[in-house]
Amino acid sequence: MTNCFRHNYDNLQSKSCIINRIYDENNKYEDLKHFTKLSWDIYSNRLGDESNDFYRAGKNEFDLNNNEIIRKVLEMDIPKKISLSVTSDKSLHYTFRFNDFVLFIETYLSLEFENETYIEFFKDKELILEGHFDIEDGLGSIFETYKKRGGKTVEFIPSLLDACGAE
Amino acid sequence: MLVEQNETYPQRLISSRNKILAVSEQVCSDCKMIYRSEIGLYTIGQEIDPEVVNLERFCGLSVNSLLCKVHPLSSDCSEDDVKYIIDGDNKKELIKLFQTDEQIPEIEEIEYLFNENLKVIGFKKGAIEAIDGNYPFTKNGSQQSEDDPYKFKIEVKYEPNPTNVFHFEVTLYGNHPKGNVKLGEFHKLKGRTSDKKYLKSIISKIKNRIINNEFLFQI
Repeated sequence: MTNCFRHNYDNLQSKSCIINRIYDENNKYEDLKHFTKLSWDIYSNRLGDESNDFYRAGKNEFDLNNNEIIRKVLEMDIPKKISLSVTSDKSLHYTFRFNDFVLFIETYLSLEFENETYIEFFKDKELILEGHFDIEDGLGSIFETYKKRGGKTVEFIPSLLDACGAE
Repeated sequence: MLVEQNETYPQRLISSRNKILAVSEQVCSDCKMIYRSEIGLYTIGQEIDPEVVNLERFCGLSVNSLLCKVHPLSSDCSEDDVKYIIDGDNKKELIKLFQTDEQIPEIEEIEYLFNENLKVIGFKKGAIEAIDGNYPFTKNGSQQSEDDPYKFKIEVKYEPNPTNVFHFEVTLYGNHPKGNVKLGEFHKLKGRTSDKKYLKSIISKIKNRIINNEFLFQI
């Protein structure tokens, strides 16, 4: 009887922990979305005004990939620092700093060809991944490299909390 | 605010053969190099803003040395030296490379402006010159073949001009094939004219090294 109670109690505790964690991560996801949008709003004028072709290309790139980048980063860990800059080189440049890892994602905009994304990933100052990727493959490679190099990952599904609430 | 000055231009910044020799003997890898910027160093995320290392700016970036305190000429350097902007009809002559003492200008003839609102960014000469690497980025992070990747390096070159004895220039070199340059030989890269395909990779790597190691600081 006691064991059964204990089991149910532990089970409930563990569920509660999971829900709290999902809740925290959903909050973090919204925070980072908000923060990167704010960064875009501040720095995007370096591409020109809103009628400029590069501005529009940058906005498309941001709208298309920003949420996915944040989602994948949060699957790895909650970054200690995050920075998004838009440069007059016509690029969107992300910096994510974790405990031992630092990740850089820079996408150069092009009006004639596909945008080019360069990734560099460091652990304790050692370069552990670099290359020219499309975003989806690049995020996949970062995630795999992170796991291989001892990074702890979490399954992060932004809509999970809503699903829990609906039950 | 850009202020036209009534005072004469600082004599301590004027070049001569002797002073150039002294600066070149004294400058070391621990000396700070400074440059002016209209924007702050950090983003709202409190990381170095890669905009301060942008592609066109970084190739041939003009910097001034702020010599270490141990060097006798350090008292002739000031953090404000990069806020002087040479002006007037003879500007071209006053900012071209100094070669002979015949170029020593009459101090009263130097017209200049002083912009006190500019921000000043600095780095250690040795830290920036230690940045090197391969380019371009390989597709999907595949291993580079031994023959394939080209190498880049950075030199902070002493380039004094008649009105600025402490003037240096950040010079970027790469060894990808170009015109008559021999295979593997390093040649100077220029922000506006060099092959953008290569420059983007190089500048991206330089930005990341600088941010990762926090090589820049606000003066």
